[in-house]
Amino acid sequence: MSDKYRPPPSGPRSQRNYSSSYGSSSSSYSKDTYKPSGPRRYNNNNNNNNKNERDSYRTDVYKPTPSPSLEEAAASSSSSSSPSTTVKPLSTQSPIRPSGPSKYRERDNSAPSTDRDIGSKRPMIPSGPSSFKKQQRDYSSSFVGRRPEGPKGFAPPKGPREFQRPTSSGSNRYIPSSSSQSIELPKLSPSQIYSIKVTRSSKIFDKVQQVGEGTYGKVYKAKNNITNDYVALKKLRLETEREGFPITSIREIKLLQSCDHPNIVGLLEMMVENNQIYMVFDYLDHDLTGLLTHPDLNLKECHRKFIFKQLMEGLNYLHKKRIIHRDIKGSNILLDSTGYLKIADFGLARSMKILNDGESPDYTNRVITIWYRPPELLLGATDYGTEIDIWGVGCLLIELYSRNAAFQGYDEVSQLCKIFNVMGTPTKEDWPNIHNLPWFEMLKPKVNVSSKFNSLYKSIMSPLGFDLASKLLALDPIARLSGEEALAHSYFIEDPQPEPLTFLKDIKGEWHEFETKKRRRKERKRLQDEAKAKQQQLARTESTVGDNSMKTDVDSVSETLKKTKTESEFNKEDPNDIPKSDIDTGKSEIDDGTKSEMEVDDDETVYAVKEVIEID
Amino acid sequence: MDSFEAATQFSQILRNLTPSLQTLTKAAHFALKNSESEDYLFPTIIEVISDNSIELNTKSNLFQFIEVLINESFYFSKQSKYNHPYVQNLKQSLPSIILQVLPNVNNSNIYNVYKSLIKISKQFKINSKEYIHQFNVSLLNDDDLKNIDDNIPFPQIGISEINKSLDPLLSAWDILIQKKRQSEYERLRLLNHTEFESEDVAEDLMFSIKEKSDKSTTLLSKKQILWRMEEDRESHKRSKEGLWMVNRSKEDNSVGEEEFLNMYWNKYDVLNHEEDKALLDSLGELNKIVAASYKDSQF
Repeated sequence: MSDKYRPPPSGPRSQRNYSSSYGSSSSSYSKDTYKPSGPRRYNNNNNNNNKNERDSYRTDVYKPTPSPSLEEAAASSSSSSSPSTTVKPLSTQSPIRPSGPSKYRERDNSAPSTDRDIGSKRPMIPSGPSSFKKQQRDYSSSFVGRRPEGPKGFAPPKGPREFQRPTSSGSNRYIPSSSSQSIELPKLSPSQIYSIKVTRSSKIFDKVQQVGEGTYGKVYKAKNNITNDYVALKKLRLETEREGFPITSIREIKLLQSCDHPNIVGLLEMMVENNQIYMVFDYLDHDLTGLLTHPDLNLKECHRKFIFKQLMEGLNYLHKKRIIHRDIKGSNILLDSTGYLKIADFGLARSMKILNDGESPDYTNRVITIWYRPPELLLGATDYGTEIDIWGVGCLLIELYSRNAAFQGYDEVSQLCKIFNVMGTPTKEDWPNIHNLPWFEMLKPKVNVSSKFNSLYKSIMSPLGFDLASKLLALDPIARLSGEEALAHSYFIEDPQPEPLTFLKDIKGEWHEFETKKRRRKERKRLQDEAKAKQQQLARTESTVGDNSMKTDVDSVSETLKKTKTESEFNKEDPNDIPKSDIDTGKSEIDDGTKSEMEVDDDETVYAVKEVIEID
Repeated sequence: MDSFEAATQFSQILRNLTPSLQTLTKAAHFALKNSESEDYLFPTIIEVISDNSIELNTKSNLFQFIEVLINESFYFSKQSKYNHPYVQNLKQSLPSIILQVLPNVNNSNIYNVYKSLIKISKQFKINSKEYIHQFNVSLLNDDDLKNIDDNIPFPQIGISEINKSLDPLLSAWDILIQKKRQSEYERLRLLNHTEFESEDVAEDLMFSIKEKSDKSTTLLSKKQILWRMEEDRESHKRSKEGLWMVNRSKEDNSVGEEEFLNMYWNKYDVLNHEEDKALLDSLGELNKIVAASYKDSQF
């Protein structure tokens, strides 16, 4: 029966060291509420002498005890572990409030905002969507309405409403004023605290700047004011959701929670603030696309290997867990300042179905940003597997050497054409079953093209790197290497051995695709302005001279002007962004077409950008 | 509405078909509501589908419409008022309809026809397993391979191919398989007998794409191809929306024998040793996590 009161099992994530982002592990008083309780605290803090208190705290009755005082408790607990430098002393700390019933909050309303309470074990865990809603409502009514300056960093409070309601007459004043310094403690010892709700006068996360944007919403770099660590805040875009919390985000969260690997981005916590929902991630300084546009970046074979090995290991981990990422591309591969890599953005990922013989998995083929989309998806395959991610990393391996995406099409037809032009049109041996793909008859090559892969890339890649790339980029998905096979490739075994990118520390700034694009846009605008000025000048000259040859000149300029204009129009939205909502859910979706249209320009502007950066 | 009026209106509906299920069902319902005019409406279907000015995409939609119409007709015929209107006529004409939807020069619609034909076969309770298998394997025989070596074009598939003695639905399958074989044959012939280009090839030379000036309807323009991909994705998504649906009688809302068999029993196999172990392992892992999450040691 007691199991009923137990907290939910938490996944491997709970084994992470959360204390790093929260100050010392002993400062559980000041901890934020959202945190799956788990083995770590169980292991660290379990005191056997608390066992006999179990029954007393299970009664939902709040029993203040005069001693030990909070200070004492804090002192004793902090002395038992490393002292925290980031957490303020508790006595000066701004209001700590217990989470709990809304009724309690109403009461609290009249009380001074310096209320403090700690140490309540939540007896029951709400589960399921209905309780989520309740929590949300509970939260917004109590924080957003009443306190516009709202405390930051709160997850929905956990625990039932009855929780902690003062029952005995003696506990009417269970909220001590902070000035009196006499803290009433519940009977619980810190080790038994599963979650406390605290109120802070300042935000936990301060947004530093925006670092990404997509259909899902925006990503910000933010600083955790307690630990001074940087995190990435992904703000979910909920305005467009008419049917509540998007199921695609639930899928993303679920998948991220199940992952625990150094090369997969960590979902640290979820945060609700001002009716916005944030996912809090590890922050890394660069992404692969952004980094590769850096003009001074000089990668050696060992560095490329370092990056690519981590990428393969992360991907292999996912594939072993039967997860298909479905949006592998440079801007989703994050790198820190020594080249440690994490795969991010699981907005399109899904776990594979378990199928009986003869069944087709029947997934949507509208996945993966078009440049990294493998030929079978371009030909309409719906029965794919993890091979579709392998194509993407194959493209990225080339990109590590050439710095440019290998196949830059702007729609499905041109994308396939580009692939066939480089890899050659598939022969019967290359891809025997190509004719069974749904759109093959529609996009059947009517000429034979020989492969230019060798001549294009062999000279710029190392022999083994080239060999690996050609095996990852096999046209036939069956022939493509699996993640495990790729890791066994001699590319990773032979010298030079992978080496961290220590020189990255010297690189100024942070290089994400988002910022790179901003620079590009700026440059485009400059070019446009220049062309405009030139045109005006020419127009003036023309009106005075009226020369024919001059006229053609004007035409050519206005041509360029037009071109720049369309380019900048194209780039208004994120070209490498992919619709998030069409993930086999049969729900609303975003047009793929507009997206691909926008990709037209990057091809031509990459070089221009490089120049700009140097100018800058 | 008199028959003539209905036929005119119907023709308009068919010419403007989109592959959205709503439009297709609406058109099918129009046909069924006016089923007393079948003698006029059915020829309208044939007339529209044989019209050379109709785009290939529309022809694909028309074939999907035929699938929906057959389906709806079966459904309507649960009421005594209806006696499977259009069904026999459509079935009889299936082979020639397929030849219209898959004209000799272009087999773009083959996959959609294949998908629809599977569903139609289900309605007529015809086992299409063998055909489905054939459609998905290589169909070329030794003679074909020899002809490919000799660079002989695949013979045209026409009305004459239709085996009149065979059930028209089976005959339709035969034609479809022939078409598939033709396509495979021609691809191999191209691979074996055409030089490989070493220069970059533009899209319109790489694929069979209609140029803007070309008014023929046997090829798709690039825009139409992209449009068609979008529509196919759309209908693919739709096809999954009904996966959870089951057939239950109004009176009794419990799981029937057939439902149990199809939705549950046949879906799961006995776990083999490996799967069994994997399951137990993950359960054991879960148990460990749960146990570790308690603050107080258990048991």
